[in-house]
Amino acid sequence: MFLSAEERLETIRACRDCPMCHPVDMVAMVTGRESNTPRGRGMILWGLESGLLSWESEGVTRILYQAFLDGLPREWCEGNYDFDEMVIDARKTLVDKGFAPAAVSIIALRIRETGNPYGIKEKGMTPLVGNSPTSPPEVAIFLGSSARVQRPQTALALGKILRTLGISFEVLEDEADCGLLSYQLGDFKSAAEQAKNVAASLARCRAKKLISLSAGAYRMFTTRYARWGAALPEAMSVVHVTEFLGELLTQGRLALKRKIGNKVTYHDPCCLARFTYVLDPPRKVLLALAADNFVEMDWSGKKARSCGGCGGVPFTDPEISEKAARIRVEEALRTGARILISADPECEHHLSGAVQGGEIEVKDLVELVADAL
Amino acid sequence: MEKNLLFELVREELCDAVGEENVDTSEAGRFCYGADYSWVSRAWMDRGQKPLVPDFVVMPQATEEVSKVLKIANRHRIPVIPYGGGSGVNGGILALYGGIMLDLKRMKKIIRIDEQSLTVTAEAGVNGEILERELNRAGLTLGHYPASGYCATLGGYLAARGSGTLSTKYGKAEERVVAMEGVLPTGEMVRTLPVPRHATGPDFLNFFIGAEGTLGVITEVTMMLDPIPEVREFQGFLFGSLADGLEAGRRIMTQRLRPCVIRLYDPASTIRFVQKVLGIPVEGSFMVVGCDGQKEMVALEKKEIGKICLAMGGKDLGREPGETWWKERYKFYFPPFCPDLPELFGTMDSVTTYDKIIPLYEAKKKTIEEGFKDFGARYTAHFSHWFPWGTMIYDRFFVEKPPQDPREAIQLHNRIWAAVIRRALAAGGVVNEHHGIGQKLGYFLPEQFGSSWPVLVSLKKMLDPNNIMNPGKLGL
Repeated sequence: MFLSAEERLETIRACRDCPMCHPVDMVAMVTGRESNTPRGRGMILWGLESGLLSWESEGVTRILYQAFLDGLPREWCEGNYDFDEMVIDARKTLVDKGFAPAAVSIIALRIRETGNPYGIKEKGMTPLVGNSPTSPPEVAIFLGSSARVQRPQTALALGKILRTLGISFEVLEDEADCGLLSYQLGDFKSAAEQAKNVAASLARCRAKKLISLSAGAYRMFTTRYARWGAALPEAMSVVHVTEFLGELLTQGRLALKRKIGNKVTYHDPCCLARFTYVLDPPRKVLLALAADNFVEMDWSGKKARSCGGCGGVPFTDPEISEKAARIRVEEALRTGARILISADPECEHHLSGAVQGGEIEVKDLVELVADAL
Repeated sequence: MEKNLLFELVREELCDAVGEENVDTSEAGRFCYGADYSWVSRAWMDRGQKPLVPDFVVMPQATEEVSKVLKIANRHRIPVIPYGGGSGVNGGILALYGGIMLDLKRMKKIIRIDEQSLTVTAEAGVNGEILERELNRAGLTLGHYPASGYCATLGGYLAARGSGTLSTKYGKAEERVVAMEGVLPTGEMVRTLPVPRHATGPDFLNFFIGAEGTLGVITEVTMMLDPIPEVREFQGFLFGSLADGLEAGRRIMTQRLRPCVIRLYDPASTIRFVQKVLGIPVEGSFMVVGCDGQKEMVALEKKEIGKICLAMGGKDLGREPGETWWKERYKFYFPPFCPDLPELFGTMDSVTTYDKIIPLYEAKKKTIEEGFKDFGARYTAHFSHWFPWGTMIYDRFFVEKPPQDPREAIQLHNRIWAAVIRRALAAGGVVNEHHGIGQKLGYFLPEQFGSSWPVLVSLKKMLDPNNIMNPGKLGL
């Protein structure tokens, strides 16, 4: 548990009585249900705390797993209450008591058997992204489950950028899932196991700088791993890929020859918008690519809305996830942009699924940089 | 309602009306409607007492579905409680007798923004903040900024006759209604006339405005808009006495200047909210005055207002305190900055004409501080919504350590309310100005309305013969 008992109770008391963050809860936006608002969940948690509800009460599991846990309620909250952690803590209790949705154990099994939550046996990424050199490489890259299985083109694009710029790199041959999904689902046992597996792989890396293609993995590395005894090697620094690209631009090592002529907009992945606050680097790269053609969405930066891909909701309530993604795509369409750009393969995947016809193109920032070399 | 055969049959009818996925009978789903923002409902739950919950939660997506649900409810004599954001402070959405909680938040479409007429037509369940943001994209504003704006819905604004921070200039929500669609208690869908000002007989808008769901369900509203002003500026003043500040406000309004806001805090309120929440280190009676509109007009209004304030001994604190107040205005309503349990507190607003405002304030203050001094009761007040003829007093009582026993706590709470409401009525005030009546204040309405109360009762009986619409609210 990442909240002390006192913090947890204080957060429950605050959230159960307060409706002030309702406009930022995307599940509530989709369903219109009071139970899907942060206050509704807070009331349920108070009911559990006070004995007015039991963990087996009808609706408790369903409602507590219908939350994106995207960090936006906390960002919105003047009191800065950690709403997400309160819900994750409750999910952990549901897992421990055996009341979690079936998807939780299915995902744990898939990760153990295939290394990813989709249950898809992937081909090794190393031949696709590029061979690791024999001498200590400049960087190591962590791809993430989504890039390895759902959006390999993003991983290939990163490989292309590094080779073109002459930056030696290595890819983890035995890369495991980073554990974010298991953690958000309350399956702390699996999350800790995955964290330790990843940490062990990273300990075998020769590079001292780790670039994470996955925003979720970056968040886990920098905010959660140490608590599970899975700290990264002391000599290893970690950056998100957008920070790395921003550094290359500043150093003059990244020359973007082909600029984007269409209007573009940017979706901040929630793990970058909040939790790690990587807001400026992707914008620096975007401005270099698109200049005046870059336009922000209404809900952007620290207040960026979820793409619908977080909190395990795509696995427990796919229809809610899809509708949330559609809301985000519609926001992008209202900017007049022809390209919706993100900086996480998981976000790219969810947003792409919500596009209808050819109304807008969804691309990862890394892919656009690779195309511009 | 017992979960027997009738329950299952009604459930099936409701599923048929709105879709199975939009009917929730789960224990946890219904539990979430067990409290609104009223102290009583929150304290009851806080002390581990079983809340009042509905039997069914139903989420329609269209006026036709609302109509179907009300017809089902009439057929089976089941109460219906229309629900928006659940931000009311007077128990207006509590399911006193179980029934159907009609959560309108799926009815959230912004149907049309008319940039020529400056109106917006939207479904009643649209969230206030979401609506305002959409209007801002077009350079427009609803002009309605209530504290509940982040969670309240358009229908809720009108059902409770709400006011917003800038209502002094832009009016209460009800003053901005152009037209409305709703469903009467027996299921008929009705539309009011397309404009609010006419000479075409009585106005049916008042079947819905302020009725808190007791006379039907609001489903769609057309509201007046304003352009986002060229400038909006706030100024802070400090008065040595509340009376001086009140007189300054009266002169501003009766000289027909048009500030968008005058917010005057009594000394206790200045310490509790302005000092401690906003961090503005002042003592006395703090006032914020705001003006908005075209730049030259704002400069002129500010100049004239400044003269009045200085003439009443006010000290000009400059723009910063006022701008800070505006920027942080919602902060007061987030924990831990808002009044919170375990304290016992209530917001008791009233409104009266200028000649009675000081006696009203003093009467209420005395009622609390002297009448309940054994409980250590404290009183704070500010004056936030000003009219050409008077002003409203937004006042609160606090008891830091109320009885732990929930029944004793509620008894104390209600006794305080009863004492102060009756004192307010005697001093020329009304039961409430913009927080509504709900369940809590309903039993004072016969005293407020006097000989015209039976008219309201008759209207209710005529429109709602089976008394299904939010029973037990508004004293009906």
